[in-house]
Amino acid sequence: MLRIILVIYFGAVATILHAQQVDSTFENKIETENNQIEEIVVTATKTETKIATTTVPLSVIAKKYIQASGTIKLGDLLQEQNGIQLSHFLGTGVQLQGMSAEYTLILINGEPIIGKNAGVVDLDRIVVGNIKRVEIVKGPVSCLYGSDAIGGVINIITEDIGIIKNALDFSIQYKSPAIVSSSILGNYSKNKVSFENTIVHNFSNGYHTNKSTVFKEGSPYNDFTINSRISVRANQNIQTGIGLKYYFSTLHNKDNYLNSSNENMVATQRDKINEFAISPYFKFVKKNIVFNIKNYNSYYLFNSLFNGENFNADLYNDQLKQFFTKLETQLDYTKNGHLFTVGTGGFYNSIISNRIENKIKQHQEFVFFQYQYDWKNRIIINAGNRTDFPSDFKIQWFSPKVSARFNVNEYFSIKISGGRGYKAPDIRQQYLNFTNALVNYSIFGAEVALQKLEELESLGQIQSYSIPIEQIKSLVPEKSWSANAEIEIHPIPSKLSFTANYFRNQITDLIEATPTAIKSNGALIYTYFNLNKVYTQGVEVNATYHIIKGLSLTMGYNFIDAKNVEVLNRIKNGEIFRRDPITLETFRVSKKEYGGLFDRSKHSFNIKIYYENKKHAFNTYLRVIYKGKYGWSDINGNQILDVAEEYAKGYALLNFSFTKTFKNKYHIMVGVDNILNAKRKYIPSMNGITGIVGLTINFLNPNK
Amino acid sequence: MKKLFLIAFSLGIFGLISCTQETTPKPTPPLKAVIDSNINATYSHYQFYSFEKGDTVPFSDSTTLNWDMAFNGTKIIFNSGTSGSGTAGVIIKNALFSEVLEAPTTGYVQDGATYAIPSGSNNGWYNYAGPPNHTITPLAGKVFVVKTSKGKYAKFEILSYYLGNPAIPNGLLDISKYYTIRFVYQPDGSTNLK
Repeated sequence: MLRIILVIYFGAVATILHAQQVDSTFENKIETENNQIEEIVVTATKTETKIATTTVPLSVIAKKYIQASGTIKLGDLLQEQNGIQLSHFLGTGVQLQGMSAEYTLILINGEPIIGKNAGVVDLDRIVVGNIKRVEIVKGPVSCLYGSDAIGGVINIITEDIGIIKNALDFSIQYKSPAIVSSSILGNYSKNKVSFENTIVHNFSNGYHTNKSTVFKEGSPYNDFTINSRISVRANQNIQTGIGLKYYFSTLHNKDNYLNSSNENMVATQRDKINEFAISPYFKFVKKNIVFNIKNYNSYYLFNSLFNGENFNADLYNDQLKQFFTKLETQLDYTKNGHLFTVGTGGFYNSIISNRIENKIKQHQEFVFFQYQYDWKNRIIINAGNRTDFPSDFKIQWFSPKVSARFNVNEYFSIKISGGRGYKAPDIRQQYLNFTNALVNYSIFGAEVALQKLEELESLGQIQSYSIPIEQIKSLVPEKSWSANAEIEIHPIPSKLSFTANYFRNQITDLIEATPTAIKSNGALIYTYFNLNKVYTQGVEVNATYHIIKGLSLTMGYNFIDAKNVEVLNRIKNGEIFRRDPITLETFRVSKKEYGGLFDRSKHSFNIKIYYENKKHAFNTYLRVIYKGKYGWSDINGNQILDVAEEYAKGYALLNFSFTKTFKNKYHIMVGVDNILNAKRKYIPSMNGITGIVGLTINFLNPNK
Repeated sequence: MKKLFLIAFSLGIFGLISCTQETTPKPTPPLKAVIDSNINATYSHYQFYSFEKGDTVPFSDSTTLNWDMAFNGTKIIFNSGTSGSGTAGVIIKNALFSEVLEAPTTGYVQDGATYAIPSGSNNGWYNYAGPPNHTITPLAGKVFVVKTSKGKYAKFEILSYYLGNPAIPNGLLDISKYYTIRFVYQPDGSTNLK
């Protein structure tokens, strides 16, 4: 099947043969004569804004650097950014400001990606081949985007802003030991109609370093992404169009397991995802008014299945079918430095899963407003709020935010912001009905737990309750208060700059599964509760130095302190203990020994050197990424991070790439990732030194 | 001269103190904390245990008052209620072993519809780590104060669930269902557990 698909789409390439420009129109904007930054971003305010007037912590990954680094996986790209850490539990997630991956909202062209696993969108589902740029806003943005935007928003832009030039581009990359990525990008614009189309295909045979098991650390996979967009500029004022996306992926693996008679058996894993999205839009622009109507429909089908040899039941079976539709309108009015934004909309979400008893239908309406005043580019103040009205809850959720920027002079500016973020309880936390017979436990969502427990009680299957049953109640959203303060210093404007950001986020009502009852067979029953309180705080420092023309150096350092407030209280009360495994003495854990939340490095830094030589048409890109030691797992059984054995060692990645352009048309890229040969068993993408080779052909010369 | 006097004086005081100490009745020798390793709980039946004996007792004693508690896998029962003919019970304290100096006289929980030491991870005496290693770790800071079948008092803590008491056990590689406990037994019937 794969071969047929490959033949068809390589055949398609051969017949079309055209070209594209290397730099998008967007990036041409950046490099204006006097190097004045005019970068336009859309994520911070949901309107097109100059980066120099944004009031919140924001960074952009430009296509130039994505191409120069030869990255295939989005996770690899994001991990090279300062202030970002990845998590690798049930797929790749991204942590912002020390907050877990489920508190990062991932958008593609401003629309949410549906189909989460344990609350996290797997980054591996998003291909890099068609990305124009990535915008990252840190701190809560629930005031514009609603749920999940507590730690921030990562908006992946695959569409150009502005005029689309005709282009046709083919690209193929190989990354050792086993990934081949290829893509075709085609843009065509005539009169009032423009058409953008990309096809990306990734393929991996998998890889296997530990030959004693059948499990491949790198799972063999195959995925296809097709993105299309047709836009019609009907007249000066009206633009309309439709975007389409299709994504298909399969993943296979094998693993050993012991059956009940302790025999070594082989289990087969098969994962399959189908995703389809269609998004028509309408935009009206007149003088100082912009009016948008956007509709977004997405359908997601997921199945993960583990079968064992001679094993009747499935070892693991997870099925999810989700349909999401959203309608949103937004009106922006700009005059004399004032910007007014009002938006309203709603979405409908339906889910069918083998782990949920009934089909779940939810809808939610929302309204948001934003006011921004820009006083002579010196003082910019932004205030806004979004109110959500969810069907599952009787209450509304308010997400206000205020932010400001003071451009003191050309050398110095300050950004300050404060606001709320929230994350709605996910379907699993509300409705899950899951019993793991192998490990012998059950988890019930908060909405169905009472009913399930009553059913078991009537069958005489409940031995006892761990908590009073009246305590089980509907979940409320997890909520945060956050503050950011950033200073920006330009000792030599447009040559040398520093930023330093302090952040603090406090999340309350964190949802966690806790033991609720014990079945008569000894199995534990868990239910979700709003229980915990955590805080994260830290500092992010960035420096950029354009040493000479074409040569730039950036450095970043990130410090994170993320702790569970309940744990701190229990330590204060002397309620947390640990046992020395050698002397068998028990001690009270001290505040100093508590290492905070698992799976995040306290210290991390990166250094990047980019050199571009226009005369000889080549560029080199060197990146050093260091992540300090991080909490890996609780070994001494007290459920917190407190002793040295519970940390995983820090690691450094050294990545280098070189791209040479011939005849302004052929780009040959060679690179070596992970030169220091770092390996981590549970990070599949970190399996030692890897090589990359790539070829990009621009069939159309952009300079013509 | 003054110094000499001071020294003589303090020596005299010390002499007095030591004298008075010698004349007071001899205090009971401090109780000894005993570590009993590798209590085998792998049988199809419970492994019965007596604090008085400081050792296991035979299965044939299961209907007598010769045992206080019994182990089977992660399950721990007491000689009372639904588990035995005695009135043994337990009070679970979150404390250091050395901090529990006195046994309460009341409040002992006996086995009933639920066990006196509840089962389940982080619910009774252990933490179950789950995949990948499935290790069972005794919870530190759980001290179990016991009223024995014969009405005496004892305290114990569980130190390991694996044979040979490995420093960092691995649930898949180490041999499980072997308890190591530390206990103090007060034979005189008093509540003193110092």
